[in-house]
Amino acid sequence: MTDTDKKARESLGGLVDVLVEDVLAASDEEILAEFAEAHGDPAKNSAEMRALFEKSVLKANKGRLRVAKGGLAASRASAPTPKVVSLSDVRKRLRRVLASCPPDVKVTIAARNENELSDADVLGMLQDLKELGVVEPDDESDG
Amino acid sequence: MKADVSVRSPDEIAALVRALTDAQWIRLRKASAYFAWVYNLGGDDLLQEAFYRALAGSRKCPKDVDLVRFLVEAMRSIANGEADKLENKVDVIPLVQPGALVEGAVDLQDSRESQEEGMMAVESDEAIRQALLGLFPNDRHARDLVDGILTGYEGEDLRALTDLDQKGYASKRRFVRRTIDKQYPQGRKP
Repeated sequence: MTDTDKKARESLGGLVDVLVEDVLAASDEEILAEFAEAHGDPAKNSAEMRALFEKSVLKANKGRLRVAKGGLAASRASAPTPKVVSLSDVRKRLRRVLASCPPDVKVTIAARNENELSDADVLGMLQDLKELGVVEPDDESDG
Repeated sequence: MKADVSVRSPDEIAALVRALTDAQWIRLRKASAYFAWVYNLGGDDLLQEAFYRALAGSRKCPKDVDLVRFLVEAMRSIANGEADKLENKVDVIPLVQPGALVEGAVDLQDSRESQEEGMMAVESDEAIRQALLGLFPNDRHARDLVDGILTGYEGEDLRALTDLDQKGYASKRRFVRRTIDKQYPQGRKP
């Protein structure tokens, strides 16, 4: 665009500002009468414009769906992968930990036989021991 | 994130648009045609883009602003943005011919208008001015009004230029708009 194009646009822009302000300030009766005289049925115009609007709604909804899908994919990609563990290894580990536990902890849990604990109880107990600091959180070796 | 309660949600905007009256739809269509006229854009495209930005939330609609006014301002902003994009466009042309020594891969084309282009644009600008003034051959007030607007006069200065009182000035403005509407329906350029 040249400098002269810009000047022409600015001067015509001033005219458009006046035209737009006048359209906004005109009464409904005037606007409807003018339109009916020049173009016909205002209701037909409204129907056309509403159809145009619904296209925009569709486009905006598609855009939102794309953004939501993108967010879901990103959260899936960043979610930690659950670790698969062998329950027999976990039970072995609990037995080992119980055997080497400080006496006060051993007394508390020794009342229960490890063989009688459910898998969930075993996992929960190991978690409790980790939280108590009896088992190092990074001590994941079972060997 | 907490929703901003001072702006309308997409659902609120959609409900308000669907409830627009015939007169409001006409105002929007006319405004889109005027902007399209100056900026060489499609009026319907412009309006659709304004709807889209409002619904997508990239343009926030304050709750205390009239929806039609908001959409008109959105169209004005989009049209200005498009014009600025064109204005800032840098044409790139390859300078290097096959087999030539590579000293610089590209050169920025001189975007300053040539004397010939400038004269053509001035002629075109003047042609538009004359075409618009020609719509009011025997109406001095209307000619002064149009000429003043095209020269950049605004508000009270513009009214003073026409030498009309407030009522006469408002009436003349309306007459000018209606005449332009009739002569250039659907935003056709002079």
